[in-house]
Amino acid sequence: MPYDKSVIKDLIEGRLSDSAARRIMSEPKDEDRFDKYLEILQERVGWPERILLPIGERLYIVQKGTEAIVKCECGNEFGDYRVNWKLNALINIRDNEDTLGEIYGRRKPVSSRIGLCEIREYYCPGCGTQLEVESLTPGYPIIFDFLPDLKAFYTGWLGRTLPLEQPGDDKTYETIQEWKKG
Amino acid sequence: MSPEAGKTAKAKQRETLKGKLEHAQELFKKTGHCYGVKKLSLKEKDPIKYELFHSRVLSTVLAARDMAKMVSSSVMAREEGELCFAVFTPEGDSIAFSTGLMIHIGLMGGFIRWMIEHDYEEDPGFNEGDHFANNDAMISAIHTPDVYFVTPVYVGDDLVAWVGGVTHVLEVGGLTPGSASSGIITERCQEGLHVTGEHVARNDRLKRDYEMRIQLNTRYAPFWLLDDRARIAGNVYIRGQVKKIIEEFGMDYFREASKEFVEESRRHHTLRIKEKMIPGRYRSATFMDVFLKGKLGVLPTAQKDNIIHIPVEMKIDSSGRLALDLEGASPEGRHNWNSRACSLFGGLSITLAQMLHFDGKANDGSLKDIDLHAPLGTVGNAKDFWTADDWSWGIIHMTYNQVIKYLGRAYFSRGYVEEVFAGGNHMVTLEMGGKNQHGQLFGGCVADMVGSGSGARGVMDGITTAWQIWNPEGDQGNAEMWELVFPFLYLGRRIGKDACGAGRYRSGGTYEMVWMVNDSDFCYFSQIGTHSAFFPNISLFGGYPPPVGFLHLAKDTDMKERIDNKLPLPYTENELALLSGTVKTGLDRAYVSEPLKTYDLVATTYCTGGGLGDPLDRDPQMVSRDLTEGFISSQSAEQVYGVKAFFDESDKEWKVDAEGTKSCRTNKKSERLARGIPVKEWWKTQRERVQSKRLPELVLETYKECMALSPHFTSEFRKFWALDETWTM
Repeated sequence: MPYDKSVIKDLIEGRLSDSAARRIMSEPKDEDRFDKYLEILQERVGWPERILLPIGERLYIVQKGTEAIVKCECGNEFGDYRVNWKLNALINIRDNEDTLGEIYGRRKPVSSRIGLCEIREYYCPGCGTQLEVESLTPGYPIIFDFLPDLKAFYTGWLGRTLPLEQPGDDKTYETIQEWKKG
Repeated sequence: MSPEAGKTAKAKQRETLKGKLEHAQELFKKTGHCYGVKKLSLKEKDPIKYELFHSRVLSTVLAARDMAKMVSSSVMAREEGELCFAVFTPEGDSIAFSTGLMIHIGLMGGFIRWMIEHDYEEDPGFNEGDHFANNDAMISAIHTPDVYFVTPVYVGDDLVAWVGGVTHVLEVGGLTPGSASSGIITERCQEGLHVTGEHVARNDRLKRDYEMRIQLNTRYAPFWLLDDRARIAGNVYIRGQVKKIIEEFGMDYFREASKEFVEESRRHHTLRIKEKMIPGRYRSATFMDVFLKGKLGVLPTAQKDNIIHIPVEMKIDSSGRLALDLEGASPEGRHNWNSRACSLFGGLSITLAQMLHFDGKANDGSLKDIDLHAPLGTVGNAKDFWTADDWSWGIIHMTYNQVIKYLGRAYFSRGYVEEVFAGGNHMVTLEMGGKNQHGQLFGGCVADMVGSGSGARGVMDGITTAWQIWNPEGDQGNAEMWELVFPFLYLGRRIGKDACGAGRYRSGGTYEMVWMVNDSDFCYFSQIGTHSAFFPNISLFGGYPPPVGFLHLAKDTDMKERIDNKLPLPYTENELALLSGTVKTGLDRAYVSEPLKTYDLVATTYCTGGGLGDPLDRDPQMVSRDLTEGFISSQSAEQVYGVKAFFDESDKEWKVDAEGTKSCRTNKKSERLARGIPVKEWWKTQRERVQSKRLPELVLETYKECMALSPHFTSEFRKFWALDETWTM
């Protein structure tokens, strides 16, 4: 059953009571949620590009002309959505007692073997929001968390047109190759 | 001519169970529909009758579970509800299963199919009143303590259904006492008593030779044997009820509706995906430490430190078909973190039943349209006969916590934010044995720390405690019952401070548990390890993983004097520092303790789920509430959440300094922008480091092992670091 847009807004902004949120969890899913969700998010952002898919609390895939890019709520643009947006973020590594202790401070030891695991923080270069965190071994490739198939979703599942000209394959390694050159 | 004589060989063969199974498999292959059912005719014709029929079967298995709890002596069954019952088609597809230990439903069906495929119908034969047992993952199971009993249901000469039950047995006669494995088990022969596709009961009575084997091969047989009786009791009850249901609805209806349930569940799975998810590619990886070098009790063949690597890629294609791939995972090894393929598949069912399908009819049908690939010879698909697979749960947690994250990403993108979870958690039990308070040799386990906090949710914090997705261990039952059965007393059970996965929404709490050995002069403990060096990679959207956890021991202390003189006692891991004597803290959990006695202490912490969202976005009022309730310290409030708070003595609560918080958060964002470096710059320096292999030895070894098995992982690694095709680790 559809919910009022104001209810969905309260839900996603964390203003619904626990019991009201649980009722929504228990009930059959409202079919128009995606549209209401995008409307609410579009009203929130201060830029004009059409949101195609939210992919994080402040991170969106948006339509820019006939292409889709990743954009932060603050306006910072990360480029083609087919390239891992993390490559255009700022990174901070926590891999020693001091820096890990800032997060897990009170708990001693913070790890049984410092150095085997690093916490990677990815910040938006525009607003400094921490957009994602990874916990991986040093030297592990940065993970490309989610590459949606926008065409299949919009045209196949939602039955709508998607005026994009890019095919949907992963372009991350093309950027990496550019980095290698200089 | 008799009807028999007129039948072709093919027709006769099809009447056998093996023939029926093969026919069902052929139909599915040919038509893409379970049992070839293209139309849910019975459902369409009379949906009320259809749902009523299902409810009757479902309520039967639920009632059986509750009844069987009372037959078993085991606190694991009675207090914790760690059991499950189901009804299956003759071909081994579940059509209804109870709550409880639900991971086993597909696996029990797998055991039924294995028996059929291995001609058990001929020898030993299937008769009413026979019960067949299995706990061996080489056939279809999770691990030794989870024992299945399945029994056929006959109407006349026709085997019309199977009924099955599983319980988690508390003591299985393994290398270390207890049920689930300890971290020092590294070979199959150490896992305890394997019951490998055996005929164990006739006319609903356990066979004497089977009982003797249990009596003489486990430390405390009543746990096992009374669990056996609980399973028989449950199976007999369900069998009787199924016959009544058949009488009421008719044999034809029972047969056809059962097939429709399975097909309906298959369709439902794809409908849910298209309703709630987004097609595309999802990726993550996570790691686990299994440090065995120098550990007491570990065989020479296993004296090695290991890092387990589980990468998981999930794809959903345009048709809604879901595929999971563990390409690049660590090779199977001489440790306990290995899974057979069947066990990994079992993990898929427990995850999706609760995170995606949400339907009372979720059964084997819901898994038919999923592709799961774990390369042979890796920790997700062990092939070596001698490999210990008893802690397949470890691989299941690592794999499906990533899947829970993917479901969360999809739900978030789709707008169903209330369904998002920032990862599950890992289970840790405390295994123990020695001499109990009655002077008997015993083995057993406690699992209350399994019921810990959940990952953060999309619209609220994680569930604080008593949560568990993998089994019913969120509800431990009465602590007094556990104290009655085992020689210990609970001293403390607290939510740990600064022990959540931080985020805009934080995870639930981490447990800290302290027990004191009581009335025993010989008791020793072990644990399966979990996360002492690796923060599980389970957070979302800028939240943090939870901290790691440890085991702690205290022996020959002044506990008795403290008790006698009413001095402060330790209720948390940090408070062990109060004691004089031998206190060992920060033990990673692949550990077996030296023997302990009355007044000695064991303490452990447990890992919870991940945080969601940037901690600097957390509502400051929620941070002050966390301070008041003891979830975080004031240092963490400021350092992690950027919240300045003060303790109001008159109201006895923490309150937010709004201006201070605003300023603190602004500064922290500036600090991030100052210390963060562009990823391109980071990549260049790290690339040199990787090229010259200036990485910790154990990490290099892990990469080398994974690359040796996976050209794909090698290729992706090289591509990311722009290394030559000839570059090797």
